[in-house]
Amino acid sequence: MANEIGPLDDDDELAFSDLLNRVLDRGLVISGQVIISVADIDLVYVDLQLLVSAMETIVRRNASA
Amino acid sequence: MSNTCYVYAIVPASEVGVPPEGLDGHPVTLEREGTLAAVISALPGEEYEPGNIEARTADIDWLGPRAAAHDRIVTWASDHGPAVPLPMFSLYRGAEGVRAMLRDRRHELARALERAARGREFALRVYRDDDALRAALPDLRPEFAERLRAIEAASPGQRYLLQRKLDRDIADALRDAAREIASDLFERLKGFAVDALREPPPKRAGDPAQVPLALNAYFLVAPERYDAFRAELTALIERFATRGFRFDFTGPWPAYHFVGPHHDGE
Repeated sequence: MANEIGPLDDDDELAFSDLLNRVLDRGLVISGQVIISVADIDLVYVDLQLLVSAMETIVRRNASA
Repeated sequence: MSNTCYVYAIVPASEVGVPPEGLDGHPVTLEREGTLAAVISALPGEEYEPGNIEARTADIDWLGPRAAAHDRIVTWASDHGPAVPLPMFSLYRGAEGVRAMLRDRRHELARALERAARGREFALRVYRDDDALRAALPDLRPEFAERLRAIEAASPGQRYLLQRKLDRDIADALRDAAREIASDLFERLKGFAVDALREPPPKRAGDPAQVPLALNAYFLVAPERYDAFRAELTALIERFATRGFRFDFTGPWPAYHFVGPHHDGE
């Protein structure tokens, strides 16, 4: 498996951000809420919206590099 | 000590295949409860503690391989039977936490599995190539050809105003034509799908050459209809590719867009 991501051309960049959009932002959200992590709760939920916008910033930076 | 369980997808408990490696090469196993199973990796150590994940999400080199691994496992599960993808970083405390989730949410999850069992998803983007579309426009709308001829015959002063008006009308016509054709494409393909949805253009930088997106659509297609769906799409591409549209088609994907409660079957 490729563990590093080289410079992306347009098509790669498109496919990669599509993949990120799918796996971060789609699928069935079981919790439905943001739950702050504490030691004794069952579910830990990372705020996916934050993640998606962080990802967009990175992809943009990558694309203009 | 951490005993974080990462859940990739929900599948029927009857699934008996051997999954490929998961995140960071960790083994992937099935945690069963009743008729349902979660496809999981146990992630030891502190790396996937929520605070640590949030700190790493700005690192595309960290995120990229993990996103690919997540998709690989969900795709593996979908290749074997119905699978409900979960978003990345759906984390539970231990196997007991996963089983409790399967138990507490069994009705909701069983319905989601039924939705996923209907088929796999195909993604279609259709981009407008305005230059090609503009060239095809006189054929589509003969009145533009007439107006062009009228402009050539007009006096220089009139010509400027007529040309400006024509340019505006052409821009409107391009937008309308693209919208009509996109809706037509969507409806035709929807006829071969069990479910379909249109989405606004995805937010991201670096669209190739800033080509405007005419259609961003997802189709859930039953396996026995794949050939018919692809044949229809091929026919549509042949028809429209020369008329100012570029097609970007991928699939079959896991049913990422069609497992939520808004997608109960028609």
